[in-house]
Amino acid sequence: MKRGLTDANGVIYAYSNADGLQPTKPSQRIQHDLIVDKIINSSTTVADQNKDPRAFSDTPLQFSEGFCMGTVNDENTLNIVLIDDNHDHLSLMSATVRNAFISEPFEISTQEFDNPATALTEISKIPNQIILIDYQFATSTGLDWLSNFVRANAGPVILVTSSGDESIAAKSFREGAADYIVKSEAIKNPAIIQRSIHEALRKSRLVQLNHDLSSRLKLANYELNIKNRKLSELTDTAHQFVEDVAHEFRTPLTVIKEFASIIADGLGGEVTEKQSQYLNHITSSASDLAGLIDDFLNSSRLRSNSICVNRQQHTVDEIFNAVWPILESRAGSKSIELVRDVDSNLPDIYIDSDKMQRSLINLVVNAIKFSEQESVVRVSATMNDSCMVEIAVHDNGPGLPQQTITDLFERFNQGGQDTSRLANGFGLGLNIVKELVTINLGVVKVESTVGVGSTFSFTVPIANNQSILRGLVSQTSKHSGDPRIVVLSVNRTHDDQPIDQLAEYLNTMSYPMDLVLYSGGKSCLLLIGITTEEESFRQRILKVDSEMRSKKLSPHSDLQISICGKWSADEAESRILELIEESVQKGHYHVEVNLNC
Amino acid sequence: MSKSILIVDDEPRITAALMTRIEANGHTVYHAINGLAGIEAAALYEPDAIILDIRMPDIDGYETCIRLKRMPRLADIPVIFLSANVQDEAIMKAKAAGGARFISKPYESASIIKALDEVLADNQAA
Repeated sequence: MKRGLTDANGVIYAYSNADGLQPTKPSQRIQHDLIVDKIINSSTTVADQNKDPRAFSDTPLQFSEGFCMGTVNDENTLNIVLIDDNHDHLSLMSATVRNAFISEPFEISTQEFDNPATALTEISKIPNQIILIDYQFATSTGLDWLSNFVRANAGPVILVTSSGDESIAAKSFREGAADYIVKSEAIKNPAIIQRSIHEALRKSRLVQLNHDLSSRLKLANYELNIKNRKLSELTDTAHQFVEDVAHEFRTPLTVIKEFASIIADGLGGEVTEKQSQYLNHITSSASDLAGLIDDFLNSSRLRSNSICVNRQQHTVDEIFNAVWPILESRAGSKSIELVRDVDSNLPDIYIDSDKMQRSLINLVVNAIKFSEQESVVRVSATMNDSCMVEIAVHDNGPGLPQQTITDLFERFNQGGQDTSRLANGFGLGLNIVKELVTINLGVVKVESTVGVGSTFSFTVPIANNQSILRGLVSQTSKHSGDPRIVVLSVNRTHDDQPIDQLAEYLNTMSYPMDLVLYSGGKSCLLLIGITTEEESFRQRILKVDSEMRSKKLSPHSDLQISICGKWSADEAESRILELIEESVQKGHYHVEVNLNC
Repeated sequence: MSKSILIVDDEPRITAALMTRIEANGHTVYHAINGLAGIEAAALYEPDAIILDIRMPDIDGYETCIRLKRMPRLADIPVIFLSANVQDEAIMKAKAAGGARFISKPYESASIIKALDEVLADNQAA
């Protein structure tokens, strides 16, 4: 089928009007070989192409397998449409083109038009075509027609000119021409036409491929969106399910626990010491179960971002006092001595009290679970080097190997075979500690020696802006990408409600890692969030506010929210502190910033 | 001093547990099994405090509380919400509806007694 002439080295010769046979240059030859290769591939059957990796056989969509929109037809003919109002030029070009393609493995046919308007109406009837349009017409230029031909989408369009004017070339490319050739050069060396046509076909194929790929991408995106929506519905259902189950569990649990405690307290008649001891087992097991339900709920809410955070100023003793009776009764059931070791003169801390209580309970209950009967569990609170209060739970349990500690805080990750058998809910409880401590802008640490004991500790910020901000910044820098800290200021035009109620309200509607900073000021609060888009942060807050208002839950009729700035983790602490200082000077905001902490 | 307490809860065993505890502390206890019955009972007995469940068959606890607060004769009776729903939103709604306290189930009996003592003392002072 191959009709070109080749020499002993396989070099393909092309005909030229001027010089007769002449070998193409080596670089042209390589390109030529590639093109020929492509032509052969493109003209094989679909079945063959499925075996050819270059034919995109692994893609589910069918690509147009010709050079362009079906360029090579069943008869393997490439139609070259020539448009030129000079008949001499037209015949010359036609002959040159036919000469140029004499060595190709497929037929070409030329269609000649002396009028672009006629050509434009005719091209739709011609399959597998490439259009060569002249620049110079009697009343117009090829450029004027170019876009019409490009839009007709019949095949690649090449502009032919008599002179090599670069500005025309640039314009032609802008109008969508596949290539640009100079008539006189092309006639002298038909290889130029050949190359140009091959190049145009290649480009056209790439465009088609690109088009196919982008359609596929659109389809894939569409499917992904649907899947995402279904998935998010499923997740919502799952979270709602956890909420419902938790709710349903609580009522019978309350009855069990409460009646056990009523009997133990002698309200149902006299109770022996043994009976009272057994009843205590029921009560504490019911409490365990209630705690586990809380953990599940928290875990589900953390994952759905629906957990509410209400950070406030508290003393460490307040938190200890709230949980100590529960912890003592738990320790008592194993005759474990619980030692409370809180440094005097600790500053106030700034935390969500419920979340800190739950963190502390989980750690101490764990320590009790892993401790031998009649051993000691010590809970300490101290000030650490980075101006945070550190709460530590020390036990003399079996301890944990380093490797286990590494993945201890992973969700549902049990602390190894031996320990997991000893303690149910171990993994979930600890993981929740980690997440709750993160919400309280602190970090969790574990130190452990096998055979000696473990110390689980976490930090909480003290109630000054620097410590709080430092906590937030250190959480921020753990985020991937380029996290930014956005600051909004919140004002009210009417001071109808106390500012701390507004703070509580903002806390309720913000995300767990948003931070509301206030300190007894009158009309201004800072709301800080980690996000890359300050506007979306503001929109989110306003949206939640309007939802709350529609449910008549907003006590504030006139929140004004404006953006103060957006900073990277590195600069956030100092910039936000400056901002607070400024507000103080303006009298908007009253804070005590203790820089020496 | 003996006071009268109204319990509104659709779960009779919870009511029984609460009654046992509260009566043991020397108070008189009335109970109603849903919100509407609760409002009737409140109008009839004018209790010193009300313990109110949230999830109930007819009108929920929030609505019950809102209606109570609309009736001048009953508006000052302190309401303690007692619910298995521990979402922060529930706590906020309870507050918005006019609740004085919010206690979650399962509760510590001591916290019920403490909350009762507090709201009764507050009301006395007012």
